[in-house]
Amino acid sequence: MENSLEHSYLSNKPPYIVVYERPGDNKIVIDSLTVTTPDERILIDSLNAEVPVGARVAIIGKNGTGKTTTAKALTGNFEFGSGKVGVPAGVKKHSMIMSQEAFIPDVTLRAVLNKTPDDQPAFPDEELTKVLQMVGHERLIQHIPGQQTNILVDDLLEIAQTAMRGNISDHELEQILSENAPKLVSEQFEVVQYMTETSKERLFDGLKVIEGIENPATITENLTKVIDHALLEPLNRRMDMIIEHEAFAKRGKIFPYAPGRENYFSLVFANHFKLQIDEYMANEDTDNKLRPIRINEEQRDNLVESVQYKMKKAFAQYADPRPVNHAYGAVKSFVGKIGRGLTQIATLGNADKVIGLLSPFNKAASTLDNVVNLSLRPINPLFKLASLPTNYMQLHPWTLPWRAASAAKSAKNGLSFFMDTQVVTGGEFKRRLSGGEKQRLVFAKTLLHQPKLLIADEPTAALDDLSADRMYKLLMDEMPEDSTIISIVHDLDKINYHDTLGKIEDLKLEFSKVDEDTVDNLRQAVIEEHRAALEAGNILTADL
Amino acid sequence: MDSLTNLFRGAANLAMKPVKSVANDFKKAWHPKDYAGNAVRIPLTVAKQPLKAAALPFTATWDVLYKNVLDPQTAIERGWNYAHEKPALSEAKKKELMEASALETPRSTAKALWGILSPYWTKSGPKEIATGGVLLATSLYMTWYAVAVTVEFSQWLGQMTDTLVNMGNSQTELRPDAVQEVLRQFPGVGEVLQRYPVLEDITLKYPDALGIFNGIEMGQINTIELSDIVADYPGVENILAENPMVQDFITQPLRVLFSNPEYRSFLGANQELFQLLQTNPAPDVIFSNFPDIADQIQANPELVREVAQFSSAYGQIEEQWQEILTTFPSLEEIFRNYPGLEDEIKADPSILNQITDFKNELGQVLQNSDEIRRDYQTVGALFGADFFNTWEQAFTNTAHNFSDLGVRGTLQATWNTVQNIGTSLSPFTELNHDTSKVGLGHAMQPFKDAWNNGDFATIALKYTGMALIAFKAKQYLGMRWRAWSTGYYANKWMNNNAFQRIKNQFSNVDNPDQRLQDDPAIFTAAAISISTGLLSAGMTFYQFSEQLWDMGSLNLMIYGGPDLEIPGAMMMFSVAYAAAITGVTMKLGWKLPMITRAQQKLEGDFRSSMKLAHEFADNIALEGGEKLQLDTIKKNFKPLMQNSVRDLTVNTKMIVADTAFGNFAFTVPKLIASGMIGAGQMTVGGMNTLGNYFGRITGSISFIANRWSQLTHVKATADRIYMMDRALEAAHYLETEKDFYAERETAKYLDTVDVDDTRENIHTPEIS
Repeated sequence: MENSLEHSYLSNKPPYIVVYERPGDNKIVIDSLTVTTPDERILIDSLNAEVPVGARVAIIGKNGTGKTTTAKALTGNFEFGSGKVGVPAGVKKHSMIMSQEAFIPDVTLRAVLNKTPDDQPAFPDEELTKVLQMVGHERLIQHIPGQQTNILVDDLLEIAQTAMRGNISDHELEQILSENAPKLVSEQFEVVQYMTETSKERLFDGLKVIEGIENPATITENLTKVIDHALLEPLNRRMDMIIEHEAFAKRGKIFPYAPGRENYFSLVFANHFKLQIDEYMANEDTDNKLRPIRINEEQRDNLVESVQYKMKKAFAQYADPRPVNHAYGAVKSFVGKIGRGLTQIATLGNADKVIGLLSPFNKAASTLDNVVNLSLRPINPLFKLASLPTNYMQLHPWTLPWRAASAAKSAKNGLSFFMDTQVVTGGEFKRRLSGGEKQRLVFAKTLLHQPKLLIADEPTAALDDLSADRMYKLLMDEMPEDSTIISIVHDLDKINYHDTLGKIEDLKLEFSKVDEDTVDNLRQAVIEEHRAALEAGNILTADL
Repeated sequence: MDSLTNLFRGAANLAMKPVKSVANDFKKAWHPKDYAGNAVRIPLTVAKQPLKAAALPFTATWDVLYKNVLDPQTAIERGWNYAHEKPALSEAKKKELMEASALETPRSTAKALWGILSPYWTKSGPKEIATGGVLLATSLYMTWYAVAVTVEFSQWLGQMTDTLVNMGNSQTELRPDAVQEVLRQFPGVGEVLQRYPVLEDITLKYPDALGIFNGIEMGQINTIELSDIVADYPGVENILAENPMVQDFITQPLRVLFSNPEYRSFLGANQELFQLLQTNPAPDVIFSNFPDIADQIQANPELVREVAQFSSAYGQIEEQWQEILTTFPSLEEIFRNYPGLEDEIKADPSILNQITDFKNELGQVLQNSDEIRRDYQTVGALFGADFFNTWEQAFTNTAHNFSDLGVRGTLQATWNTVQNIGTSLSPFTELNHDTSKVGLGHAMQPFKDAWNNGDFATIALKYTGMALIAFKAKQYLGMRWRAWSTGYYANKWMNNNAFQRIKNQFSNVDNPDQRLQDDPAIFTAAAISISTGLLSAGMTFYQFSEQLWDMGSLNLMIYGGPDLEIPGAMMMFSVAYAAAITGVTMKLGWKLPMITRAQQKLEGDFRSSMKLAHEFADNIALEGGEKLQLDTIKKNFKPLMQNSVRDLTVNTKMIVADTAFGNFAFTVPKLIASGMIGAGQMTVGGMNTLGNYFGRITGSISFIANRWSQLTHVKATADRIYMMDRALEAAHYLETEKDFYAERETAKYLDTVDVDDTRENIHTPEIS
């Protein structure tokens, strides 16, 4: 490039900090580095230093002395100033910054950790699970499909192992596991998902090696069904909220009272609901090719069955207990058809008002239940006859399947809306997680990627002491030896995790080795500074 | 030139699309599967829906075409995957970029427009350029064709008018003979007509009777009436007998007078009288304009009284006639109310029945005449009575021609036509330049004839089809262009840390999110709309300017000037008018681009202030910052409204100018034509045609004035997105420069340590 370059201005000194690579070298070489703010206030003046690869550097300094800025300048991200920084090959491309405020992009957890789109993961899911466990984010594992079910399977296998020591039969074992599985599921899961094939195989393989089990395949099949059903629980709860309304709103008033028609309604509803869920599972109702579908066919059948059951139950709850005279109903229906026009004429089109005037025969409804009952129960046959024309179109049994199909469709809309909320993304994590939890998630990400150069800008600011220590320990232990870590710390105790101390003072950055006395000395200095300020009369006048 | 090469390369690429994948698409279309992979049974469906089955080859072809070519998803992918090139390092370029990224609006509008419109047509890759080019060509061609069809429709209208006029003329010609023929059956009516010559005249011209008082045949009636009453005024009779010209001036309409060269030169010399005659004056006023006659009357007081009485009597008759003809527009009513005939009809009502029968019989006779029948047939043909027949013939004959050619001949003809594409794009065109070759045009001649049949049904069908295709092509092009551009800018933004520099360094770029979301959509749609509009305006001007030039010549004499013919006066007036309205619009709307630009910025600021409140909801709630936040939102909203008022003010001025000037375009042709109608140089139909041509020409030349608001919007948008583009370019430049310095330092280092084997492993920073 240089040969073809005709422009002399490039041969001058660059007007900003240049970070270049030194292939084959194993140190970071800082050459007359001057760091300024964008408005040209000098923070560090003419720094010359060498930091060996793999060093753990802690940088301290007062507020506004440019700790973060200087660290950023080493990665090449901040360029105001002058001088050169030479880094080993690959460092520029492979550096990371953990900032004080954790940034979580609005994507799924898998993509957050991988830093790649959901369909192009950079790391296997098992590694994601591992780092999440390391930083104590066990509750988040369920958001990576298939990982938490593996853990559940392991727990169940442990129970099976213990139980089989008592030499019990397959049936008894299955019973024990089936009792325990829903409990474990409710402890471990908040979002709906299903047993993946891998988890199923894991269960089968685990059961196979336990002595005394005769038919592990059957137990696996049955147990999977139990687990799937238990995993569906949040969705079932949501359907409870929806289904009663759908049933009554769309069923309309069925006169005369006919359980057959209600059964017919719920049957048609169930068929349509199943078709609708099929459509959802095939992802044919949206254009979003990447929409995760987190229920399987087993769960679909389960759901349809339970929803149909609930609907029947709801109908039965509000049903009129009086025996039904079908012959009467048939006759009256016929008479009603002929008489409806006459009635309409006789009441001058005010059938409803007339009925209202005559209704003292009906007991006034005092409670809400009664209102519901009254609105559903067939009223006095005479008035019922009069009310036929106004309800005719709605009542006709002909329209029942249409209304059932419509109810199924809106039930499915409720389902897909709920299921979309089951896929938690970054925006939701931002709301759900506290500041410290977010920071731990960033630690997990860092441990996964293991950058060559890591700038840790007070990544434990929002963590309690114990967690912070744990995080630092993890970082120092788990990061590879050729990773250089530059931390910015305020808590002097954290210096002990590093081997080099960089202190920024009076526009200079001075490096020194960290030994046993370093922290004590620093603390002593701070105490003395405080004391001096107090003796001077007012801590408010101390030089910050 | 590059883009042209790309266009051809793209076309070739599309043609050479892997045969396998196209075959697969067809396979999928023919053997659809459900989501579970089970084959959907087509035969059953086909059996149930024969129409659907018949359409399957077309729908399948469309599916393939859509999926591989038209679907905007492909444009999205291409835009997002665009590899941004490393800018070349140069001091001049750096200076230019740094300067540009410090400005709020670009120095040159042309540069900005080129900067935002060109990337799609130069950088989007051969496939995309080919697709976009075909869509653009289609929409432009269809727009052009739509104007051509408009012209065809004008011709249709002319033919229709001619036929109707012809029918009226035939009817007028046939009427006297027909009346005589029918009167033989109704002797009573004949007797009445003999007694009342005016009624006879009305009967002969009945459907035009109203026209009698609109100046068409007034002279004839007036002459009859004059002869009726003038006997009572011997003095006046003498004067009129001595001066036949004065008598003509009293009785004849101006149109008739003007067609007489003698009278015309006389009126040319006597402008006052000419102006006076246009107001249909009373006879005494006309007398007073001839000095000799005036003196003669003045000399004799009795004659003065006589003239006054004659004038009032003549005027009364005129009024009476006007009343009869306007109040009773049917022949029976006119007869019934005719002075003198009333009592006769009361005594014998059967006369009236006879008149009615006479009228109906007359109508039958006229309608059954050969001339009128021929005209009816022409009207039917113009409306498309032969539509199906014509097209059936066209298909049959075309098929026949092809079967005559045979397979070999057809292929040869196709090849000949393809070779001819350089000279003519239409396969209909006959290869006249080389008679030894036979093209498709020969075989498809019947088809071409039917296509150009010119009946209303065919025109409507053509127009609808063209409009539909033009609309779809435009919409698809707009979508593709927007999709690609959005991807292109988003990619440029997210590359090389440009987004970071935009935030921290280039403060001239506000609300990048809004720019990426809105601006590509606005400028692409506007560019397409303006280009097709411009083509349409140009075509309209080209098609109608000749007619307007020919029709719109003026004789100044009509308006009181010398006898001087100005050719193309209306055309010149139209150009002057368009120039004036464009000038006024630009003068008044000069600030509109700036206002629109500010509006977009303020809208963005307003939205981002609320976005901020949503983002930091917790902090605001915890520190009780609601009031401050609300106030901030208000402070962002106030200037927005202020600017809206500025916008409103400018727009109001433009509307006032437009309505004031716009009415001229409607009224001026009428004003000019009224003089010509009075002078007998133009018919009412001619005036409408002239107005139509004038409106079209004026509309096409004042394109800038008509589209001012759209143009300002485009300019404001172009400024915004172009400034962002410059800032992005500057960011990329800086990144490249940084990489250059880093590379140079690395090279220096390698020279000092002398590690040859590591040279291969040098990590060279990449752009994109």
